[in-house]
Amino acid sequence: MIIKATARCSWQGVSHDLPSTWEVVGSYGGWKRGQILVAEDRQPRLAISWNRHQARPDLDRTLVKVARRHLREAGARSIAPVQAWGPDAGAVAMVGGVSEILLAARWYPEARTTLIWRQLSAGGTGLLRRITDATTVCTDGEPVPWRIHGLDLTLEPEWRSEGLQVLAGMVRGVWFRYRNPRTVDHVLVMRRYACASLILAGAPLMTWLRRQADERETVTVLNDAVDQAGIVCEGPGKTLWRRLRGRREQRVLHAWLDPDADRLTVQETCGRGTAPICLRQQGPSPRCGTPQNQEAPGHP
Amino acid sequence: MTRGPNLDPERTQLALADGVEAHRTADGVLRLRGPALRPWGPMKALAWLIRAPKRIEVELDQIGTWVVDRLDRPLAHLAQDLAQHLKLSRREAETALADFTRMLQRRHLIRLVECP
Repeated sequence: MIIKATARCSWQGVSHDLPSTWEVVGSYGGWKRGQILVAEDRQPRLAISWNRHQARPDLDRTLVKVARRHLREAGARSIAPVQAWGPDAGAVAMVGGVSEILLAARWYPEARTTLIWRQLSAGGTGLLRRITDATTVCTDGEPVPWRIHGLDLTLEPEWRSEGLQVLAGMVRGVWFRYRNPRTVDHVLVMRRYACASLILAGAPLMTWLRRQADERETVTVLNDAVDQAGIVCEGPGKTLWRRLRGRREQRVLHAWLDPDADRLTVQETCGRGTAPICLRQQGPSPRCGTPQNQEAPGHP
Repeated sequence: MTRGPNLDPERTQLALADGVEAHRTADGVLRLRGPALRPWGPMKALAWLIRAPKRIEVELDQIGTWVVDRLDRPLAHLAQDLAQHLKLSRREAETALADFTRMLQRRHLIRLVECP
């Protein structure tokens, strides 16, 4: 049996071990419910959806319902009986078409979450079972790893993702910190750029980072190393009312280089309260789609 | 939205459009100069009024120059070489190449041809 290298991918509290040649090509939804689409080159492979809810689901009924919805799309004609994959997991096959398409579901009682994996092309039972067995889900109260498209950070449970933008050469993610369900007191923006050597154009990292400050902002250096730098930028209030009240805006920027991948990551935070420290993970940042089999230290 | 025919990236390559000249500057980057524009009818008057340029001229950056220097390769190989050159993933390289090609096509500087 050939065991492919795997890469860990974590999004919205759900962490998967996917083959390293697979990558996430679409992400939808949020913390409570959502979906990611995974592809290998130009071949769609898997759709993984999650739904957080209190009541324990009837997995057999859920599987049959989802299978019926996607029967035509899969080119299948009928649904095979549900197979149990453990006390809280099951799978069903859509048969009758060119090849067999599988659907699997699992209930995570601690996290009160149901996950459904739907094959988008035939891939066999073994790989799907390995993926479902290795998937973990964070509860609402524990620190959450966020590992997608090269971004690799672990945040406290108050942080929630507000958006992810993936462009050629840049990935940008935005997180809000909710002190209570209605109030956002801090914003975190992570940007990861390709072609770091072209961006820096020979300038030291600190010099480039200082250029990100507005001309009206005062810059204070937090740390300055060859491959990592941090500054605090303080400037006048953004609105007239804030300026009249004497309020100032402060944002903290950290930047670090990944020389092997020629990437530059910038962490920018602003808001009330204590700003997060530099979120750089030590070690190389694994990424779905690259042939590595490494875990960044500190990740379970 | 119009859809063109599906092209095979293994058998399609880029080529400079007819009448487009490529000049290398002192910095080593390429400048693409399109053919003279000949507006007609009311567009001629409008072009004169807004002092539109007589021809489209675009100066490429280092990456654009690197790509245009390798137009003799099929698109799939070009994307692969670009990914290796800039340490990008295959998907990033293809997206970047597609965006770049679209920008030049919109300015009638480049066209898609079948590989010989």
